[in-house]
Amino acid sequence: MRPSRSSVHATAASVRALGTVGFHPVGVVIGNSTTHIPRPVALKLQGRLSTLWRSSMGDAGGALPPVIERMYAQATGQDHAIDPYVATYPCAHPVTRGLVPGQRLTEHYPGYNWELPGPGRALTQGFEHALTRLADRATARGAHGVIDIRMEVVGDELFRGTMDITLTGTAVAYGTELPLPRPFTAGLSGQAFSKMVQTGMIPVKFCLGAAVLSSWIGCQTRTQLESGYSFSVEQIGDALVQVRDVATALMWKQTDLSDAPFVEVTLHHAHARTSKTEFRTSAWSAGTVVQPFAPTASPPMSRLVVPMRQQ
Amino acid sequence: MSHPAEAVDPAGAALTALRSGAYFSGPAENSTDTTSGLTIDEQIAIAQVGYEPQDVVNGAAVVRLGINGKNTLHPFSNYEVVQLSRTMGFARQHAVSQMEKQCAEIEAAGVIGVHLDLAGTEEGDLVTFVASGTAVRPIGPKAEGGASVFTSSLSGQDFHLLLRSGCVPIGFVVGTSVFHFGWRSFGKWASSQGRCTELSSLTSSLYAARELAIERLRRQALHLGADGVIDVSVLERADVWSSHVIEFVAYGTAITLGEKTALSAVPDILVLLNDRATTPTSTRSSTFARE
Repeated sequence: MRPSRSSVHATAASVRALGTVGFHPVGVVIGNSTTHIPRPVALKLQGRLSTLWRSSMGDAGGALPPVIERMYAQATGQDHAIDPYVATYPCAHPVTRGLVPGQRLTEHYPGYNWELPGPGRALTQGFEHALTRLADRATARGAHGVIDIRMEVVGDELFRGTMDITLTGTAVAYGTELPLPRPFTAGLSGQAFSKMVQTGMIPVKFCLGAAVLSSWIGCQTRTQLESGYSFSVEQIGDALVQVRDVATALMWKQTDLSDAPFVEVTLHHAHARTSKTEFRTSAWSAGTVVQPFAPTASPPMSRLVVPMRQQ
Repeated sequence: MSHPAEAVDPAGAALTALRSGAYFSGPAENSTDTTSGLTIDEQIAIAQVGYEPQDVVNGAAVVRLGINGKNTLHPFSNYEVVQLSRTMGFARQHAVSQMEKQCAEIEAAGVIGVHLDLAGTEEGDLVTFVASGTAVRPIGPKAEGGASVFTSSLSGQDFHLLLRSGCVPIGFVVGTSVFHFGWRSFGKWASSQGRCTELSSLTSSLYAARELAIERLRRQALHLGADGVIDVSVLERADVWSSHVIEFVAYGTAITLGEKTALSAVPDILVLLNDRATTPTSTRSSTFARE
């Protein structure tokens, strides 16, 4: 039965648009999760020790520093969704190490952009908990799905310490149909949801992927950062692109559906220098996975109109 | 093929598909593993002109602003800081070209909805530029031969209108100029005290700085073989290097007149019956009216 009163944060136009495809709002539902993300033990010290290791080993035939190897071994044991990311920036200086008199051996070493396996995945898990709670509340109210989900993330931008995720959405129901085993969730407005259903697509799940990359700067980056001239710093620029790509790849892994399209994806990133030898970049990517339920046909061509309005 | 909107109960069919997990699978050549940063309206708008989203692509550049030259700026002169103009211009173009590279790797036709964080994020001496957009491709089987990819800051709706008008976007273009504005001499400062006067030197330098940014944007567009640039904006950033250094950034989408003839791009006239009649008001008269 359709409730007589329901509180929604959808606008009147959004509610009207929902009505065109037979849905009606049931109420506002909230899901929340607070996650503690511990700082990696003595990572700063390990970074400095790693600089010594890298200086003494050079490229070491492509071998990774022991700290990265150990962290990745632990991550693999925990059955993570995808392999952690790592990229190497070998020394590109023309001076061969140790052949120039007075050249210190410690001045030439490779740099690494590598994914910290813990924080991004912990935030992604926190999001999944919040989404499950949101969906449970929607099911309890007899809804078939939740639309217009808004996400609030409170905490450190580099995902350190306590991270709080709050999801707020409008639960919607369709006639007197039985509830779904798992209600659909979407970050789409009522208007967008209505248009999507009319073009033969239905949202399935609102997903989030998050990642944190640590950049242990190599000798070339260090030279660029210490020089008096203006330089484009390749390693840090790459880290920003890579962290966004890794976050998007993790978002893909949050759905059971293979090859499903994502719509209205939003990306957020941050970066900061955490020590003399390290930069850290973080990103999260959120979007709605959708599926076709009927042959999608091209919608009729829009008409062009000029409103006769006095400006 | 009937349109899903014409079905008796599209929402009921959608719920049945969700309940059973049996979704509709289209032809095998239509890959569905797409990611889009576009809104649903934008997706519909580009579908109407034969395009679909493929993936979200990113590009970034981080620049360190060195200190060489910072302490030797001429304190009483207005002039362009060429070294800084080049560095900032190069960084923005690098971010866009990285995005183009990603787009070419996934064999998309181009990128729309490019958002370039033009103002950058400054932390210490580092300035960060991040560009992102949605790579799109024509609907249907892939065309043979790799044509060059385009980039554009246009929304899905603007892209739709542009194609319907018979034009084609070819590239996101940016022009940068960084100027130093010096102190006025003591004599000029003293002579202007108590008088309302135009600071002609500063005015002409600000003009020159903006025009230089636009000129560089125009040259970049010409280099791409464009017929024009649309959606141009000029951004101004103060305190780039020091308190007297200002940067001007002009950006827009270079377009070319396509070979196709324009579709019906003549708009209908729409008279809104609920439009409120607005009486022209004069801010000046209301400000100075004293009864």
